[in-house]
Amino acid sequence: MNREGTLYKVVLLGALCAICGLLLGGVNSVTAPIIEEAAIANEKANLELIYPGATFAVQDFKDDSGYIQGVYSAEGKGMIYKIHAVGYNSEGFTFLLAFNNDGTVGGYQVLEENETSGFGKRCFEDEYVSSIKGLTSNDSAPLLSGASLTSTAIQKGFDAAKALFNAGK
Amino acid sequence: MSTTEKKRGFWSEMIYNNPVFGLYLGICSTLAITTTLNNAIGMGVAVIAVLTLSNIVISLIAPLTPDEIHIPVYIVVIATLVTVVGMLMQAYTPELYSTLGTFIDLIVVNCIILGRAEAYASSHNVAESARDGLMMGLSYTFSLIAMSLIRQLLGTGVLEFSNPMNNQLIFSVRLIPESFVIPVFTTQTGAFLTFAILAAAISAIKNNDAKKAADAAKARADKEKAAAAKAVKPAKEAA
Repeated sequence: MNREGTLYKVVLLGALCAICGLLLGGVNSVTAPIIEEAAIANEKANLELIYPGATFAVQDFKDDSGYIQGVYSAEGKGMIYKIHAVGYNSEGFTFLLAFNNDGTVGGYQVLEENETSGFGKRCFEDEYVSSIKGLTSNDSAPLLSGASLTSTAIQKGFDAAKALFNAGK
Repeated sequence: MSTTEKKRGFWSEMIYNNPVFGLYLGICSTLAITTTLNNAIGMGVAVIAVLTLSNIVISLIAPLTPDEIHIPVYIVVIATLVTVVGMLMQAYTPELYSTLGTFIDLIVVNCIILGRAEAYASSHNVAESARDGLMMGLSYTFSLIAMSLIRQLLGTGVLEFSNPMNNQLIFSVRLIPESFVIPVFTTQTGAFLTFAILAAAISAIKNNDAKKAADAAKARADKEKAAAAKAVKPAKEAA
């Protein structure tokens, strides 16, 4: 084959890309389970708060809202969504929201928050938590008077998780 | 590599051929990640691996590569190797991977890698290219370690290193009392300051050596001139 010809160049680049693709596929097949295991290990203690003793797996997801940070499946139980939203405090807060396989809320657990005591913080206290736990994937999270910024952020995060859950049904 | 360069020792080569302070290549990542010794060694090992392997692969495929497509071919090779190194780091040294973040992926556009592929590996055999990649990688790592030692020591007063596999602290020594540290060295301003000081020092060493070599050459020339004049004088007297 003529080394200066277009065909030679196309074949060379194509062959190189194919070899590189195979190499990357091989390395990915070795490293992907280890990376996934590490990701689960980091979150496992938190996930156990919702579904104790379950077997968890990281799920791929596509989220246009920007609220969802991670999606985990709990085998035979449901899906858990890690959500980061910004309420009153500009650094925002992070919480887990789980939907059982039947569509009911399986858990609502705050991981990190620094909202104002007596206002935004009420969204993480028992009364609001139990109101979330009674919802399904067709509902929307309730707004809380006096904590409208925080509860609106939770509602948006809830809606983003709900959309992913319903799309994956 | 010239004969003179080959005669130089390892440390001398670290200075004369230093890509960061001598050739001003790969400065972006050097300034960004040299806040700790851990980052410096982690990044250095990643670059040594990519640089050595890319030099080997490129020297092997260079004879098959037409000039018109050599840059895309080199980029495919380098990008693949960087991705492989990134995956391995993410799997086995996750803490280090998350600290170095995007700078691992940006090794693809590190001028040292493509520069050595283009300037050296494409026209030398595999063994020479591998040696060049290794030496350049070590030289780059040496620069990172020098920068990070100064920045970490002056900025925090503590020298520490932890196992990148499990993040366990291997050693931690406070060498400067907390009230005497200069926190600006942990910032980007400190990175530029440290870089400028080290680049100036290496430039001074090179200038000093060049001056010594010029003086020696001048002395040799004068000696030869005197010897020639001495040889001409008796010939004239004889005539």
